[in-house]
Amino acid sequence: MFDALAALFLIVGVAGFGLGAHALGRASDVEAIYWLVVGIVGVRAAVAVARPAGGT
Amino acid sequence: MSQPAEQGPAVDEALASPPSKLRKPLALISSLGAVAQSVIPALYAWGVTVAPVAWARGAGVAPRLASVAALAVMGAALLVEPKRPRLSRPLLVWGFTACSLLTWVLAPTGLSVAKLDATRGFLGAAGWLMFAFSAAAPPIRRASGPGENGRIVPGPKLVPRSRVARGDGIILAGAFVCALGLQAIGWGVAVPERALLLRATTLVAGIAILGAATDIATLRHQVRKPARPAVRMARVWPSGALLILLALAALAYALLRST
Repeated sequence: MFDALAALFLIVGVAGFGLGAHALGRASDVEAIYWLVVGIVGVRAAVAVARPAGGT
Repeated sequence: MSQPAEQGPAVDEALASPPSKLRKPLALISSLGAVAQSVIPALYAWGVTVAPVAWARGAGVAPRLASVAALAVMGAALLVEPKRPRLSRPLLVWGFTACSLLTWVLAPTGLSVAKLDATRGFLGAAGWLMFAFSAAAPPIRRASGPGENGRIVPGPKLVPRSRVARGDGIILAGAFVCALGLQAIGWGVAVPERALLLRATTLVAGIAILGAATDIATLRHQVRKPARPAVRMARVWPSGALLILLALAALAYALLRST
């Protein structure tokens, strides 16, 4: 279940980065920052979920 | 990301494995002489950079003759190789290069910036680089020593120490496709500074995606002490809460704009 959740967060991160880059191309800077933050948080959450107890 | 494999059975399995499809062309190339091996990239370089110049509309007869002479020199070097291997290599390197050069000199407009597009220029440069490398390098020979079993690389057969699990491959391939997909965004941006910022952003985002996917693939196999669901939920909570906050902020912004 947690592997699937990690994959879901990674998909959210990828979508965030994609939408952020698209917004950056349209010169919508605030929107771009918002989606890039979503991307970073999504990617970080994916790694945090996948990490077992012994991991750092 | 990878699972350890037992060395002994893996070695036996690798030694007993049937010859792959790749081995046939490799064996064929290794049975050729040095010049014959160099002729393959030479033919490619000729096809990409010499022939289009010589056979372009209005190029004239002289460049065409020079380009055919380049091919003839190639054939002569191949024919000479079995009996006089010392002569065949200089004949190919100098003869073929001189004839190609003569073609370009006789049809100088063929290589002008207006006619030569970047892709063909790059492919042609790569072809000549491969030709130079193969002409300078010693020929690939099959080992014929005792116990070497006709292998091209000397020494015992190399066996991978571990194997990539199937799930890991899918995760990494998906991340690679996503990272590559990001590079497709924003090529129509007209302002150079923004275009550069966009390229840098997509590059960094792609690296972050690949890094996260690699971490996930690696961490899947750390079974030293699996985390309890409560611990994992505690780890997810800050990022999850931030994501929810971001979603709420976007919703509030959309509502404010609509009213």
